[in-house]
Amino acid sequence: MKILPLSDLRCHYTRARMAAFIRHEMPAAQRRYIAHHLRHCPACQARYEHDRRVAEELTRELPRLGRPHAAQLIRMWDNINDQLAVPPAAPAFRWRYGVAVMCMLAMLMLPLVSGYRSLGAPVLANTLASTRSIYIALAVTATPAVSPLMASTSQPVIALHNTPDPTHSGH
Amino acid sequence: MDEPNTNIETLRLVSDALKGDQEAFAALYTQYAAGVYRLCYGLLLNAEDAEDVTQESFVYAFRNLARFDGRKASLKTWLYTIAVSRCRNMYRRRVFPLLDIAQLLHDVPAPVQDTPEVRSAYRAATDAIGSAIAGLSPQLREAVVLRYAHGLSYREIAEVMGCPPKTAESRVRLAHQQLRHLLQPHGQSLLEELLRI
Repeated sequence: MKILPLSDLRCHYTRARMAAFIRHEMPAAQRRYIAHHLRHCPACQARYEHDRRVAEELTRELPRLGRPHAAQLIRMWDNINDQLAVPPAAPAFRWRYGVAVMCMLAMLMLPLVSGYRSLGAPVLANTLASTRSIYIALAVTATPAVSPLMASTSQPVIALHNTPDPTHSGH
Repeated sequence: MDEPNTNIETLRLVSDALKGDQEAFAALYTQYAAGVYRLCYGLLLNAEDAEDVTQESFVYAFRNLARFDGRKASLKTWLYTIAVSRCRNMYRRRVFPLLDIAQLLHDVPAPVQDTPEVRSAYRAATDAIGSAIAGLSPQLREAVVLRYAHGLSYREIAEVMGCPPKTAESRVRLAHQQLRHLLQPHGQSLLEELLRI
């Protein structure tokens, strides 16, 4: 990260607050600091002079922009009165909200329409069944006659044999 | 913010209007219509749209006058908030800006000294300002119009624009920076001419 020299930081600070300084909208201490900097920094002083002129120009010119004629104001008032004389219309049904609600309902109804089954239960049962078949295969291959090395793993296999079979919960 | 005595008077008018006093409605309209119209015109840069939005804003405000809370905001900023919100809807409805600078400045009063030089400088300056304002983004235009055309403080601008005061301040600063570049070519002499008008 580039570290700015102190003088640049002062300029940056001053320029960021120039509009507020011109409008006298800042605390007195901040104002004194900026005024002091402006007295000693010709670049910021030039910027201040220019900004002040632009602000003066805008303050003078913008209020004139779009000043309405008396006839225009009267015409608008007549139209406002006409509109106020008509009772406000009841809030119209917003079709987009209706469509959104219908979509949500359709999504909720979809499982029922397409033959609903619990989403969680079959998946869990299938997973447990496949795990069980793997363990049975391991138990078969873990006999000492087939693989003495695997015999040491027989304990977990026995434990696994005790895992209840979710598909035969009656036993 | 309105002056305190004006504010009391305004609150009295609001109270009377809520009781159904038609003259109070008319008085509120007389007090604020020109400001609301100028705001809409400054943002939309089109007389027809500005009239429509001003009417809509007053109809909404008068129908919902009971919602106005004088402790939270002045009637001016409340009306301006309604108008700015409708102007934003208008931006969304059409490509922006669609304006004719000559028409935009058609209604600007003539300078006091009516010499050809002054007239020419005046026309150049108003054209420059009109195109500079039109060249700003809607957000920056809102900030600069509220600031310079209506003299609102940062806090009031923030209230009307629905943003924190620091954001309002930085939008005014950004607008100022852009306007500085846009108005730069007109230079010192033009500004001096303007200052003499």
